[in-house]
Amino acid sequence: MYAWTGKILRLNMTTKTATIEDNKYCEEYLGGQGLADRIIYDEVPVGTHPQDDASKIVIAAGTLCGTGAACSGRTSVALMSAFTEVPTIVDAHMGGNMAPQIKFSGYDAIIVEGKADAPTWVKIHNDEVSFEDASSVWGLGTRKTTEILNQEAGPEYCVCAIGPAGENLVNDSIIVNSMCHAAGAGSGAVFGSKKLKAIVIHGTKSVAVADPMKTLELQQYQLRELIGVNNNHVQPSNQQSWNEFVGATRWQGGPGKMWGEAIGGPLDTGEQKPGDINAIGMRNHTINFFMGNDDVAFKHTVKTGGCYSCPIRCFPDLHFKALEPYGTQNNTATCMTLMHTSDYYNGHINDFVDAGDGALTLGSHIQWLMDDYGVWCGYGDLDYTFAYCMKNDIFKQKLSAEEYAEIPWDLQEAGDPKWANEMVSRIATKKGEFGRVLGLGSLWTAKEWGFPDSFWNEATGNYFNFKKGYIRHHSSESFGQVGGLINIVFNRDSMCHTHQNCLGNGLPYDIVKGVLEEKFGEGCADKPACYTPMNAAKAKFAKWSIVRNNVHDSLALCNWVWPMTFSPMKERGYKGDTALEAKLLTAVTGKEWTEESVDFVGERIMQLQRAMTALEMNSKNLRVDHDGVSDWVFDRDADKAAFSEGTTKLDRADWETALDLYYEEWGWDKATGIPTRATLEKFNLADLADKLEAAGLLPA
Amino acid sequence: MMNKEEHVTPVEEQEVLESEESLSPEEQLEQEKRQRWARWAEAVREQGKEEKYLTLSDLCAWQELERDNAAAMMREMMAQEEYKDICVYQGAKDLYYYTYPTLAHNYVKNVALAQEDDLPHTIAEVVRYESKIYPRATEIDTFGKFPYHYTEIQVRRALDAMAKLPEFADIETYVSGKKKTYIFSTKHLSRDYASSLVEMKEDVRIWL
Repeated sequence: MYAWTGKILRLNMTTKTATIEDNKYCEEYLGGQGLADRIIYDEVPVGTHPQDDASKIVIAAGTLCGTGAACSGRTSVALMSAFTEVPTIVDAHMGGNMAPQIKFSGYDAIIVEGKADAPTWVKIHNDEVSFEDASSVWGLGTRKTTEILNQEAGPEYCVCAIGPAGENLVNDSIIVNSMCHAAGAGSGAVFGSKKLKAIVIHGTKSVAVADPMKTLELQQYQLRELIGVNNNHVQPSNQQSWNEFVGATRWQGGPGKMWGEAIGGPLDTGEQKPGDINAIGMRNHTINFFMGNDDVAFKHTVKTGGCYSCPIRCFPDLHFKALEPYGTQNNTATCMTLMHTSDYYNGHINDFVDAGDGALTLGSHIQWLMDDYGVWCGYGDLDYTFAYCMKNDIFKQKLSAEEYAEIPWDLQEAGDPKWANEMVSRIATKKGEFGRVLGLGSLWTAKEWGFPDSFWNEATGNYFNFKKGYIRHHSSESFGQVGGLINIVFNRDSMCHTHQNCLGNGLPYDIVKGVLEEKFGEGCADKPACYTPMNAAKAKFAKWSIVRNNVHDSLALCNWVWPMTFSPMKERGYKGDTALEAKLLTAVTGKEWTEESVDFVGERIMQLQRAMTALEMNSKNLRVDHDGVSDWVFDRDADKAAFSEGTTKLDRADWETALDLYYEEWGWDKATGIPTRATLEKFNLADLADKLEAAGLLPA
Repeated sequence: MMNKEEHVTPVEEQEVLESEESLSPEEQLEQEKRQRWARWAEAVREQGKEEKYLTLSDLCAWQELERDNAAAMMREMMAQEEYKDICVYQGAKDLYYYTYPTLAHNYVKNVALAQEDDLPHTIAEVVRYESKIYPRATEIDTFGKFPYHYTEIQVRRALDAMAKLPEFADIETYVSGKKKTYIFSTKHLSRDYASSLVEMKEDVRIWL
């Protein structure tokens, strides 16, 4: 068998046994998220709380992982959510090195089920699986745990561990591999409930590729002609000799842009012409993109780093001398968590060494701690909730006088790094009401502390979905209705970047519009903050964005880079190649795949998720029960009308039209937003249709 | 820059003489023209390898030619299929010859603008282009970076001067919520739209 291993490893924590089973879903679900979602559907009863005995967690590698495809190191995780009203299917994802080690050990996925009676870590080396005593690392952070287990098993092993947050069953918890690559959505608590401290894995098998030369040729083509940087930004943020356009992009490298803390002295990242594949790794600097001012992030950069098989190097290794007293001086920095220093410090940020370095230094410190304690920020959900509590004096109102007095607020006011230690450790250990409630996720925090509906509806616009407990993620601010429609269908923040990668990629709007309209039709992509009423082309763009995102998560490709919709090459008219996934899949599997057949699988995964969500919510009408939108989406910018220049607000009546067109694209009943039997049967999901019908949820 | 002296071997020199002897005066002129084109194109392409252009002023100094004459010869050369990679940017003070796509049109334009060192003109050119093409308002820091390298005081002084001149009446500024100054052209962006685009750009959450 090419590309797939055809095997799944099942770890039963109760019996401490490992079994190897056939993967019967290879082509039907590809792998990764598709495979993991299907296993959860097959094996976890509806209504199962993620920390129940019957709960399972699936950690899956994708089809292209291990084949050498660019950016194919993503690991998908499927589980039930605890931060939502009822447990629903959610997926989480991490980069790093877990997925390739799963594949090289001979598996497409690992299923973890049951509960151990004592802290355990699982060591996997190919077919050899052992359940080890984790009592010595229970209570430790993910970094120390990784260090110790790597010493125990060997440096070649990938350690995927939980911190105290997972052990203490915090809803907002993560699993972390290779010290800094995290999957969120409460996955840490699922591990914790099973007393699983870590999976430690190393494989020495190979992944067979049907046509290695073709695979290599396609990879070279991608690197030479198609790939940009993170978010597939395809033009630099600085003028180099070759680029026509300069954008506010993550392509921050260029002549004079120095890695200030590089070993051996500062290193100039230099010109990075398309086609020069050895310069690709010098292009990206996500943190400098966000921090901007005076290249402060460049000054602290040792080098850029990245996941297995990824040329982009999307996170920098940063060093801060000022953090040496706290032990957090070395950090591999990604965007989230690091960017919300101001929220956690309520604006109390001071410079450390250079002017303007406070937010970056403290942010890096916070991020280091969040990874180590294993706390999930929920794409800023925790940050916003915390800021809301500060702004509205919630802590003073809801905590006991003793607890409030005991919290060292003076550290926060002083901008002291130790404040972050206090805050994060309290959440991870559920210390007091402060720690317990903040770690529940915004929905349950709002319920416990009685937040008014304005929390969800504020015109600051953080929650696109009304009262759902997860934050907006490239919603209506990204191509208007397109981003909004993408945001409504998930059970957590939407992690779809297919559409977002087309926004702010450094190219002028007319070029972006031209490429997208060729694919989806006229009027699919509005100018930023200059929207037009809904049309069918927008519905196609929105649907395809999700479908392709699912394809990526199932192939192990990074949706922060893929698809190759655009190219840095002016010779190509900046047009990329959205068929590349299918071409690669054909080369590695030896079977013919087309864009259409790949996307069919991506769509199947969404149909599965949607039907599962209806079952889990016991909803006859997802349009009402699930897809509700907060008022700010329509009420922001009170002095401006929707579809006027300078606002991203949407129109309520138009939104209803948008839902109609969108549901129609998916083959969902317009009135209820639930897949029809015909749609489910088209995707070989008749069993889902039967279940929905039995529950009285299938549209007439 | 090309060396004025050309080094030919005696054998080559003899071949050239023999070949020239067999040509009519018109053919000789045509041949000389083509040889000149080849030299000039090579000069432009060599400059391109070093990320530079060749100015008309440099060309005239090198070839000891009048500007109008040299410019006309270049125009004729650039009309030939084999020199279609040679492009020209017409600045206010000079003409800038370059090879495309080795050098981007906008790279040459921006470096030439910086070389001509007419800050109000540069601001207007860049801002109008960005307001029209992307569209976006231009951050004031842009003019402190490569290839311009002006200080913020210089830029602000230029903006003050421009505000009094009718030819720059479309150039306006906007100070963002984060207290950064942006410049835009009302020929292409309304103040309302420009400010919205700026605030979107500065809303970190949109781009995370």
